[in-house]
Amino acid sequence: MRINVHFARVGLIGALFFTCVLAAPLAHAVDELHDAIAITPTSKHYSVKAGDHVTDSLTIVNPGDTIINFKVYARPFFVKSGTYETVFSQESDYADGYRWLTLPLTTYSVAPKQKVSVPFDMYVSKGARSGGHYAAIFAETQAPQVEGQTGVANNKSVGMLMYINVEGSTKTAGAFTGIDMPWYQPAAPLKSVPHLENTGETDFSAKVTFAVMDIAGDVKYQTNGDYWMLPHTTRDITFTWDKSPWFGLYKVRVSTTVLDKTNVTESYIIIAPRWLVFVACLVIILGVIDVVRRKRTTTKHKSH
Amino acid sequence: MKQIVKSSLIAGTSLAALVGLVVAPTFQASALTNTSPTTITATVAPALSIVSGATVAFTMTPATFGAVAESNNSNVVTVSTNNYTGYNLKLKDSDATLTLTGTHGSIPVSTDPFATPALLTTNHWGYAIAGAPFSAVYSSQTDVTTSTLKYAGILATDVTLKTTAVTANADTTTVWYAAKIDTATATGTDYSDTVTYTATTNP
Repeated sequence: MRINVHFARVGLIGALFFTCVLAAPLAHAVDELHDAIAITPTSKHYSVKAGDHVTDSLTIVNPGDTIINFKVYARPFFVKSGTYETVFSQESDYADGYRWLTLPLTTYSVAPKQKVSVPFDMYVSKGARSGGHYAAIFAETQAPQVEGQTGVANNKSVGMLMYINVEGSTKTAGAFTGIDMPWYQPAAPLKSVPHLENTGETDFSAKVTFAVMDIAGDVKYQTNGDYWMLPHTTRDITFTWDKSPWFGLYKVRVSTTVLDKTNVTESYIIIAPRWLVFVACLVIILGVIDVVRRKRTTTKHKSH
Repeated sequence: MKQIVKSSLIAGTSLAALVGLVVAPTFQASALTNTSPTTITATVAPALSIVSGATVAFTMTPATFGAVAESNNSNVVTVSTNNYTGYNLKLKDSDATLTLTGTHGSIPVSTDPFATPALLTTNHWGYAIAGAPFSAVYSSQTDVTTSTLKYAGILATDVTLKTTAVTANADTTTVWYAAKIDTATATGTDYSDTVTYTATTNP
């Protein structure tokens, strides 16, 4: 208990330190900046029943040193292509959750270094299909309208992604489908791209671990994370070892766990520039030629 | 450069402040409700912040009647997030009017898309970020008659400027805006438009 109280104090003091001591003078130094906006959380997952009413909120923080005015609104959310580029402008069978969202207030003002809670209601349709539905709520600053203003002004918008799973009979399916991990990579950083797919009707989280070891088996770099897979999508997750050297031989292990099924791929990878490979090949060829030439010379001497 | 450093400072501080604000209550709640003397739990909530420079202004003055003048200026957008899958930054016009509109006229937006930006045609404006498919490097220009810098026209729908794959601590993106006019564009000091930068974490 004493430890917890200690950490609580540390946490509070840390927060006060960051907000009052560090943020203020730095923010004042940036006098040409209009405004800043921050959001937390950046995503939320809901498991609901058709017809449910959910009340929740997100938090908008003004880390800048001027008052910000912002508006909030809901939009469809889904992804496109294997890169999982987010799309907020197209409604689809899955990107329809925004229809269930209502925002009691749509405009807010926040003083510098303050935060505001933005409440919202989710009225899940009674006839909602079971499975995944996706939406996003955005908070967008409103650039002040200055008479005679010239040039390009800007608003800033931050969004919270919403993953809404309507309970009921639904298909959950997905798999690891392959990996791009060439054994020869001509330039750093060392790269590996596992491919995953979701063939079901709702989202799930896939755990992926990327580890790089040297020849002795010592881990040089490792990272892991949970990656959300949306229904009927494929995802290419790019891992790079940013501090990989320009030359070396490494063992790479990529482990993916999709719906409790784990797949481990291991491979040795050579990082070497093409010119080095060319020089090495040239040396080998010259060496072979030299050996053959010496052999022929020796044979001739013997026959004489 | 100075602006980039300053933007980085405020963005980094913003994220630190945000995490501080989020983490502190978690510690406090743990202290009040946890009865185990050895269990310490802390939750770091995902957060994301965006900071950008003020209005980007540029002035064009054709040297002679009929001459062209192209000028540009930049805006640094700074994003921070503790989300380990990174973030996505998009750009669009804030409304359906894509021109730089002034009291005495307007400057139409470039018709070249993000995928294939091109040199600005006279009496148009556009945006750019350094690197393919745009020009490799951008620098400040004022009243140049010829430029080799490529620009695209802004749309009313989102265009992705950047996608990252790891946490970001004051990650900056410099967006350049430019206009090229001749004396067919009426004089004015209030040609303006508003764009929207949208940042979200990746799934």
